Amino acid sequence: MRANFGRRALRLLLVLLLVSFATFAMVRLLPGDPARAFLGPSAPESAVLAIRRQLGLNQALPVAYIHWLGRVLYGNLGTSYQTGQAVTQALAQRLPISAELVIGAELVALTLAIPLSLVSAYRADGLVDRSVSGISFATIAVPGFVLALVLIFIFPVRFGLLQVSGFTYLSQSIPGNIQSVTLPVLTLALPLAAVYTRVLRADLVEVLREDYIAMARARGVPTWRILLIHAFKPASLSLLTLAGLNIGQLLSGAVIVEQIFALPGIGSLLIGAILAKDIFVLQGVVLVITVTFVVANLLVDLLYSLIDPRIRRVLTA
Amino acid sequence: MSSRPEVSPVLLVQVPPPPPRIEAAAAPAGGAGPGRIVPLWKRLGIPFWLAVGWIVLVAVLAITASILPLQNPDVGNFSALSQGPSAAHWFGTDDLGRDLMSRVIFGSRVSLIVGFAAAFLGTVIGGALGIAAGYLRSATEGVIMLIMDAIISFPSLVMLIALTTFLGKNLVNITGAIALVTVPVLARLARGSTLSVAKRPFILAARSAGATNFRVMWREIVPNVLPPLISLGLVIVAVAIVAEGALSFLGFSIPPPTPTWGNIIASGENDLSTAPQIVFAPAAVMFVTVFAFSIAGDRLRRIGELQSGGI
Repeated sequence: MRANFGRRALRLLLVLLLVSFATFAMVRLLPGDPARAFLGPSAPESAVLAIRRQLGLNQALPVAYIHWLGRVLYGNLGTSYQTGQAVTQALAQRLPISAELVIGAELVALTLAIPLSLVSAYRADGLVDRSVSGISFATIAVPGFVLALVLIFIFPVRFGLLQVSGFTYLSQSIPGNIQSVTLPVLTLALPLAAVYTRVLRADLVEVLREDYIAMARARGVPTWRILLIHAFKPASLSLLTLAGLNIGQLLSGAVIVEQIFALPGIGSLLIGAILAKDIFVLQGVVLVITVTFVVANLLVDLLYSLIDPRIRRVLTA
Repeated sequence: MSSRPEVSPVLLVQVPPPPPRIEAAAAPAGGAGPGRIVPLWKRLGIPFWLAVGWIVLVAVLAITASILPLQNPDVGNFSALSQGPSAAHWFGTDDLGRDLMSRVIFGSRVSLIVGFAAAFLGTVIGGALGIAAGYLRSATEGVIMLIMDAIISFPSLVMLIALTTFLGKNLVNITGAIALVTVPVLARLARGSTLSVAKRPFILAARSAGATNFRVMWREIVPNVLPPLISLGLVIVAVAIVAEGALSFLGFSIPPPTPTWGNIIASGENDLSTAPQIVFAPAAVMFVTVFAFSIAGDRLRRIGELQSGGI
């Protein structure tokens, strides 16, 4: 198990290097000079050169990349050439908002999906199951930005609820913060809940066909106990994988939602950095998203073996 | 407790389950029992044909838009600003008095072209890479799958925005960028199917008869991997339409005045309270289209699973 985990960790590290190099190369190789664009056509050549040097544009691509990587290992992500702010500081300001959205969305999605799939799987192909599956299938087909506008239309526009102007930080006011994040979180959570419901329901239906469930039933174990204890745990593996893998995806999905609801998360930082080719800021955001994705992957693997003793045995054997 | 789960007749020893995959979605619940042979078109069911009907309708409208009796999508009527649906304007008009139905129909061109072209490219490239990885194994597989993992871990929206911003917002670049982010998903599926097909005896037979690797892949593996690949490809069309819509909505796709579903929706964002039709006309059409592609892909996949399971 340890060898296996080590091999996976190594592979993911390789993926991280590839991704960060690709970001670097993308900014470098695609046309357009950020320094000239930032300073304007009339700026003196010396100022342009200074920014180019700051961005490492005067170095060959691999050299600039190695320099950046070396600094990252010491926790220095560079500074934004537009604002002069340290990238770590910008991330520290904005990441909590995006993280709140992601965690909130996961919690809401799981809270909706688990009871819905238990009820659906209990009477597979019954009325409840069919309606839940139809609704969830349709929900998945709603594009995120459309869902956001539908929610805005229903709540603030029609019923005057959850009207939001500006963002309230969690540290300023808890009810205010909940009010600012409710709609963004729902936008991310509803399609997620639909996917989770489909996956968990399918696995539950399989597990409920197992012989040990029939055995438990024969022994007179109450239904709720069979569903929650006997069936839920083995059926939750795919759900766990998805929930884990989605953290990284959600973080980049949050970009659109933050844009629509004007939240000061990493989304606007990212879009601004791309437009201005602010390479270190872009690298910083991409790094955070991919590291999250990669670490979530590893954690899911670890959790697997905790939940399912069969996997533990296979891996250690 | 009246309904009892099916009890399998034989007590089988549990084998460790294969690592659950994301694609491992709903298993076929019912399973067609033995009996009469139902023709394929009937087994696909009414929802599938409704979905196909809608896709054909949207495609025909998009192709014939310029000869249809539609109002000019770019010219506004200043005496009919932001009107709701009426006999003259079935979907209403936008804030410049342009006919929304005409704009939505013309806008479907970008979505459909990008959707189909990106999914086609992604399926061809992803399929080829996946088959090569799954059949050739060893270093080829290692390198291909590592690159696929890197693309999947890369935040896709960042890649899309960056590529379209730097390379230019035109159809070719947008299609290419979206195809690129769909390649790994299709490659993973193709590799998985190839691994199971490659174990079957006819592959060994072909190889013993002296077929080259290329011939085995092209003549023996491709026909077997294609069905699941095509059903995922249909779902990918939906994904690509959503991706183009999101890019367009954020202003990173074909810019106005050319209408796209995404940029029409974006143009109505601020008039949501006074003229909701600007957002909801294109949004509804987009939703039904995306839904139709998902249904079609899902139905095909289930039929395919039942068939291959029945051998």
